[in-house]
Amino acid sequence: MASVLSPPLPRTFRLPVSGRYLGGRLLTGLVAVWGAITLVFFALYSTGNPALLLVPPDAPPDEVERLTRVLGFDRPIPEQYVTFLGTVLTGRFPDSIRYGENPLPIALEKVPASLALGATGLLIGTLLGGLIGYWSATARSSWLRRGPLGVAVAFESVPTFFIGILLVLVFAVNLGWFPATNGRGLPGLVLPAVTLALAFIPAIARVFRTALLDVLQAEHIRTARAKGLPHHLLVRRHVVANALGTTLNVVGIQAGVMLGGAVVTESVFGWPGIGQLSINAVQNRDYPLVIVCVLVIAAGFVLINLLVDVLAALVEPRLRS
Amino acid sequence: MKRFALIIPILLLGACANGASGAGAEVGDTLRLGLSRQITGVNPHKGGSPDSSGSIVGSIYESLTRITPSLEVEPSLATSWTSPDPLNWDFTIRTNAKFSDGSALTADDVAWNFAQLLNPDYKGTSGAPLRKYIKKVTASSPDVIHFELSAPALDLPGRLWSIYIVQPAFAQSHNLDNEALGSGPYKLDKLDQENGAALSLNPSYGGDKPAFEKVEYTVLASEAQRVAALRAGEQDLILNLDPLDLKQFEGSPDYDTILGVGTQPLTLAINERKKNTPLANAKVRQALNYATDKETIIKTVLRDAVKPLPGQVLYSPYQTPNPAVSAYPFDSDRAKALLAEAGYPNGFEVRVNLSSGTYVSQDVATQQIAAQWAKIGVTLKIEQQPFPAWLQNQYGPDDQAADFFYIMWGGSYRGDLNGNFGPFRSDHIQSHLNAPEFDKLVDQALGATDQATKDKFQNEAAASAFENAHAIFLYPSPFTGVVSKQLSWTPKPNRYLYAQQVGRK
Repeated sequence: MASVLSPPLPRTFRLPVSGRYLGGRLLTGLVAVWGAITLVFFALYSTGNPALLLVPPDAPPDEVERLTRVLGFDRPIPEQYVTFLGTVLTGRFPDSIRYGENPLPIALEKVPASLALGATGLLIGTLLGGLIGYWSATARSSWLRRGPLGVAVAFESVPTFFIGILLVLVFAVNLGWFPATNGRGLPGLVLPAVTLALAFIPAIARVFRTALLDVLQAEHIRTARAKGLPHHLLVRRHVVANALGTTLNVVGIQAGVMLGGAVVTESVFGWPGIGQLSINAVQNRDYPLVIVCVLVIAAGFVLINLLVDVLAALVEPRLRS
Repeated sequence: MKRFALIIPILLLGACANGASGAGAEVGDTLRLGLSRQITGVNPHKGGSPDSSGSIVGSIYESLTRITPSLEVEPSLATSWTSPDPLNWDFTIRTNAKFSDGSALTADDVAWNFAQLLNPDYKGTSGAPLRKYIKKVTASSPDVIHFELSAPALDLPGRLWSIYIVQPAFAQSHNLDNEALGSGPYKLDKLDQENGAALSLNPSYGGDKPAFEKVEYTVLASEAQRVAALRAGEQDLILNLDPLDLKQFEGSPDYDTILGVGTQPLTLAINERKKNTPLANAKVRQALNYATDKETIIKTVLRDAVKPLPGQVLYSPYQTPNPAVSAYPFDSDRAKALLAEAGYPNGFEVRVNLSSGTYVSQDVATQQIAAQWAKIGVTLKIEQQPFPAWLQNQYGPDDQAADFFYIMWGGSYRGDLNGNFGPFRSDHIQSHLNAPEFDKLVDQALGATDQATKDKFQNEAAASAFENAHAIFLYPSPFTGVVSKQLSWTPKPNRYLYAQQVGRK
């Protein structure tokens, strides 16, 4: 048998997950989004008639009936749902009641602001949460192990709107460093981003800490220690890297939640994002706009989670299976 | 607990006031006006709350007439009006009126706007009340508009104050909810319905030039946001603050405070039509009026800004009350006796619905009323609902609606019968009253063709509502605000914050 040394194969880029996997996830995501808007549709439409909010106080008694008919809310809900789906299939959504036009561009226009706020909040939250989790798992000082994590958890128990107003009070009203309301640009981003970050820090810190402690007990770490690998190299190369996979999943969930979950923060600071738009749409019974907001948020949630899974597979090869 | 948590930030803001406020509260080139309600579009044919859309729309558009701070009706687009008979009116309009794109505003444009509003299939909701009594509106000459009515309307000029005129060609090709082309002092540059609007001077405006080139309206929907914005010096004028929060701005070097009487009365609207309700009995309703200590609420919650309503929804200085009617005095013994006479010596339980965060001081005031009524054996259960749910409850069937609604209703101008009395009629869309005598008197007042007859029936209607206690008469709404010392502004107690009415000192 001839021994032949074949030339090395050229290295090709491979996605950490298969195309089939991606396709499957996108398909289930689509079903999830459709399920979410269907649920919201029936929940909203069965709770009341938005025409009531549009009628002037001095209108005659039959005005509600007239407006309900004009807006199409007089038909049975299943029939309205079929009409709604039919309209969506044509590529547009029923007009927003308050804006009087296709609500999809209105909602999409708000996404960049929400992403800017969310990404900044998440970045601050991840960095600080990671640092606190790292200290609480590895620090020699008991104060450093317990103090920052305790403070972070204490912040978690305070409502977001309260933290937001407190930050406004200190940094906008008293110190005058940042705008108090309806801030735009970078100065206006700081306080809402910090408010958001304070909500993420405890979850990220706790998960990262647990992951680090798990890895620190692992046999390969003991072996590396026994071989005399310096502590900082051990932690950086073997402990932190191995603990990142679990933490990334938590970051992913938080990122998805953040897209629509920054409702309170956006409202407190007048940040023009989709969270604020959603809550105002609900308050005004602007059903078409609420549904589109849910669609955008749900789609964002699905996509962000998919992205995080791909990233996690890149960081943690074991997840690629 | 939730309410307590909401109050804390406001208290904190107050605690840090240190007797001064408004760091950097310098009035600049842009006038900064705070709105206390979310904007619901700028459609000139859909009306709008004075605390939000109504103030913006009134700065961009003009109507035939307008309302002065003392609620008088005065010319706006119309320079004069005549009525040859009760069913025919002619309004002569200014010839120098122009839309902000430079095109002339004509009588035909006005007639076109009314034609839209009178069309029953039109989405603009401002037309609904008009269709009750206007038959046709036509341009009888380039500057005269003729109104043909189906019922007399002695106060027609007043009723037209909120019918704004938009350029027809623009209206047919643009979304009026988000875009605007009017003939008012300002034009719309940018609108973010969630957060505010930016306006600049209309170069074609025919009237006096306003003091500010640019205006920014900012939505500050919560009390905490309004207080923080003022404390940070980010706003020049904000209305609708809690009277107790005004204290922190009193003595400020930057701001003046306003604490006065608003133009609309606060009442507890009654559901008299629920099956087996004790509130169907006039003696019970009278008893509850006697059991309500308005003076104490006014003193402790409203800082003595107002006086109790004089047993009617008409009160000075904005309306002319019936002088023969006065407030129900606080008299628990009388209330108990009336309840016993009505067959309820041990009281009963009723429910009041509040719209969360809608009316100044409503939570504390209602809690005080509940405590006062408890002394005569009546248990008042308080329910909070978001505004849409609260409104839906009012529109709902009698048996499902609450027993009481804490509500502010009132006229827009002097002698506004529909605004003052409409909500208390049995056939009003939000009403659960059974008041045939009152309804008939209001109809007679509305149908009057001379002022004396109208006044007579108006007074009789007020007396009927008092005697039958068709409401728990509380007090006028307090009118509150904080204004930069560098501004000159005649307070408008109907809360419309028009940019053109704000000047520099």
